[in-house]
Amino acid sequence: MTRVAVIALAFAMTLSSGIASGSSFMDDVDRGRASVLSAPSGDAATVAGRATLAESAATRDESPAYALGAGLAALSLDLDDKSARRSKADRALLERQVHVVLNAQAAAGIGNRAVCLLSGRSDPRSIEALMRLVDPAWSCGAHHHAD
Amino acid sequence: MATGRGLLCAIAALSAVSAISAATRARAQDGPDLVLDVPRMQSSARIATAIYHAPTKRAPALDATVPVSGTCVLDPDENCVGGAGIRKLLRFDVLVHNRGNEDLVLGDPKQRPDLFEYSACHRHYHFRGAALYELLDESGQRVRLGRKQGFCLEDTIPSERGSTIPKKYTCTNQGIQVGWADFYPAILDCQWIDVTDLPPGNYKLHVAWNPNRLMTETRYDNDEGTVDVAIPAATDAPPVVDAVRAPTSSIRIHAGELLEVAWRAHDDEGVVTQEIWLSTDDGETWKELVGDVPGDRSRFSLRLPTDSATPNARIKVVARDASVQRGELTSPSFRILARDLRLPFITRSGGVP
Repeated sequence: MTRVAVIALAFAMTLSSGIASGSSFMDDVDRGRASVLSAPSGDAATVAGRATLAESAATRDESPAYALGAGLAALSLDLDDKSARRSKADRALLERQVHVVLNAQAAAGIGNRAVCLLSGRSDPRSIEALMRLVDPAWSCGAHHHAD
Repeated sequence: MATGRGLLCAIAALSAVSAISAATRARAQDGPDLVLDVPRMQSSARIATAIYHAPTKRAPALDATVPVSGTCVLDPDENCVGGAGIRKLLRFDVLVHNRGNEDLVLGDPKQRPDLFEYSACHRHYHFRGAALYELLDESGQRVRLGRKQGFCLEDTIPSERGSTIPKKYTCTNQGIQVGWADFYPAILDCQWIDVTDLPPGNYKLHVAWNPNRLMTETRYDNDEGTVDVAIPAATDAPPVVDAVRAPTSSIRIHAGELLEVAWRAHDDEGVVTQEIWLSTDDGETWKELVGDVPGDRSRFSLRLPTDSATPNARIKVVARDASVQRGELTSPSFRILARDLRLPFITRSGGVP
């Protein structure tokens, strides 16, 4: 009985130290983001390249947080890409990236506000416009900006 | 044999006492345990610049590469920056996990006036006093205080990878579920400490979650953290203000009237924003009258406060560059006469006050 208690205690301590050691969900988001931002510059230079990066991240790692980080990083690069033509073909590529984010969001079970906060953008609402390409009702919510 | 049986009974009794004691301890420790993610705070801390405009003014055309914001930042209830214009900010993430064995339940903010306050600027309820942000010098003395007022406590992200616990708490039914975390990323307005005009050097960022223990937890020692931060020195020269023209003694000016200030400022990489300050005690204390004058302006008309009558007024112009370095020059002393109450509706320039 005592031995069981000791083992249980040791297990609990191990679990507890593992939990206290970091924010794994956030770590996955950061890893996913880095997978896009640290890709060879040519890979992320076009909407098509970014769509490929986001989709491959979603299939490479089973963590939805990883896919979320990659998808949001791709969308953020899209927003910063002033040269993007936003043609019909581009729009389809953007929609593929948005689907990566929406699927990851659903798998992670987080709300829209969290997606906007995780976008890393100082103007989180800018991500809304892209998300609405797929879901016209999608919104960061009323509390996105300063809570 | 009897002795052996007695020993067994004693061991059994001790085990029972131990089990009861453990159960009691477990009950005493039931509850939420909010844990500040200090590594996250450390890894996200960074110095940034931004330009803020007084809410009622049209934003001047400034360097588009510098983020411009200010929805509620300059609202009197928030005052998240020391003034309008370009500011240097220490931004950082705050991530708070609930690692207890019970949810933190706050509920509908409308039903908890003891904990929440309605923000007219944000148009929703804020938890007052959820966190304390402060910057300490190397000796531990506070040099700046964060001003973030608004916190909506909710299940923002799961704490751990692979969590399958559904989100429960939102801004309208606030709380933090076991296994979830609330997240205030550095990108949010007011999620910073304004470090404008602090000398470069090493400092300590201290964040205390739940500093007043308004939220009951099983333990409080893991609610706070302190990390080292550095404010780097600028590598370029600061701006220079080499002339300020304000009223001379031959010009009679009254409190409440328009005052035109002219000056000359320059910088090796360009002046970004400029400030005009007023002293009514010969330079002992100063009040900022306007803080976001565009860098290309060298003249500005502003209305003197109605209570500014003094024999010893001075005007100070502060110019700031993209590194938020300052250059300044103070005018000679001049007199501001009491408001002319004989002409309450017409100013000396003929306009309506």
